[in-house]
Amino acid sequence: MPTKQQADDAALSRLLSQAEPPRSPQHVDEAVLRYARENAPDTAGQAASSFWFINRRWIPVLATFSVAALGVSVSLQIFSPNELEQDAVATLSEAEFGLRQESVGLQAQAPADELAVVADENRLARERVDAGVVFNAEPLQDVDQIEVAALSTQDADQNDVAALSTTSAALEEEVQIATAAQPAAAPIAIRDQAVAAPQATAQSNPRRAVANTAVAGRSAFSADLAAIAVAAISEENLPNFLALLGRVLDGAPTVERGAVSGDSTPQALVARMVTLYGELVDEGALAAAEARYVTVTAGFADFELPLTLEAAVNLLRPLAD
Amino acid sequence: MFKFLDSKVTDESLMLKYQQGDSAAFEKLYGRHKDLLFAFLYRSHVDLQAIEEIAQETWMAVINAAERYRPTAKFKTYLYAIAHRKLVDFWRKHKIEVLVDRADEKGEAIVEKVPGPDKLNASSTDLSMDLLLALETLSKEQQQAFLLREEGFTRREIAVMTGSNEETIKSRIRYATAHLKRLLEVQYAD
Repeated sequence: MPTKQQADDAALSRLLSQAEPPRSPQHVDEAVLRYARENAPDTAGQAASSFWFINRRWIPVLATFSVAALGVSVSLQIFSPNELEQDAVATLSEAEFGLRQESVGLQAQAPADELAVVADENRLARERVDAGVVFNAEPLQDVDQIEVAALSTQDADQNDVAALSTTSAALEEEVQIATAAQPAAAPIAIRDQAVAAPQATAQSNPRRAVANTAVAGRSAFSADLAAIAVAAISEENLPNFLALLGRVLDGAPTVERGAVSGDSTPQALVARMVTLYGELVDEGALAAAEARYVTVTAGFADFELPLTLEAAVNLLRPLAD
Repeated sequence: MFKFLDSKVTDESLMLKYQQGDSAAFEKLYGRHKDLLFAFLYRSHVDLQAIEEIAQETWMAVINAAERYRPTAKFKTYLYAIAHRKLVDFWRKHKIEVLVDRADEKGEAIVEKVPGPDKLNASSTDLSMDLLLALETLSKEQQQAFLLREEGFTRREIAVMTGSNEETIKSRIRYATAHLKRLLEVQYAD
């Protein structure tokens, strides 16, 4: 039941609506519409730029990004620390294997003097791997690389970050010492020095002088040396290579001796070869060993070998460490 | 079918389309509101030439502000708020007092033109015309409050449009209604 006030309002509204007002004149309509066409905003979306985030075209992008972010966060949560640790160990093993292969390659591409430098570098690199530092198999040369390698392990296990940093600092110091001890010249220059000044080398290093003497009469190190060394140190040829060195160094097949003593692992044999060679301090013994090596290798046709005993032993040094 | 769908498009959507350069959207919007707005202006002020000018200025103001338009309120509220301001500007410019009875071109008070009991005419058309004339006897503030309510706006919306508060609008509407009713009852009393 409407009140009197409401009835009065309704009556007045009815009266007002019955009064037919004039319609909007045509010339006003034309003027307004013409003005609207002439002043229509030019660029689409210009006025809505401050509300770009509610524009419909952004909705699929935002949805995709949200799903991706959710997926990443869930994936991170389902990885347990143990799994991460296993991944880190696997990565370290791969890096170590890569280091061995790379060190062989590097040694194969360089002459004997250069190989000594590379061997030292690889020894340092190997220590880094043992310390848990992952890197991409190339010998680290400076502090930056060590830091990058340390950073790459942070994802594997955050708990090891502090230890790695400490190790990196120690390695950095060691690299600096090693770098200072080595000649600053490039590898090619080192090789040239070795060929051009054998007398000086003989004065400072009898072992190297013997090796150079054994090489005398042969051509200088050629590019083929790389392929030879790679073939000699390959996993398949390693037992035969060690047996050959055993015959040179102690006159008996090292493989058999090792088998008898129960010490037959390749690494132990390699260490033994390096040790035996290190015991040859006498110039005469060294020359004799080099001569034996030349003799033995002359009749060896299974695969190509390094030209000198010293080069052969240097190839093994990284594996013996 | 298409007409039905067309009617479903809101005023705010049409305005946003025009904001993006769609002139056809503005034509639809204009078609929806032009006569209603003109009627409102006509009820607010009887001078037809002035009404045309105010109507045109109102729509041009809408066009000029299109790039800044935000659908925070109904478009109709936005449109009538502009129209109300244009009316107030017009009254101020022409020094039309808001509380005095206005006179026609001959100097006679318009309220005098409202037919008295001696000129009784009970037809609804005449009643409506009398109501329009009676509206002129109200103050502009009361008149605007009454007419905006007749356009369907709430007291709150009217308060926002006229820069007042709800209670003031309520009293203005009550006073306007009572005044118009009394005036018409006097005129058509037996």
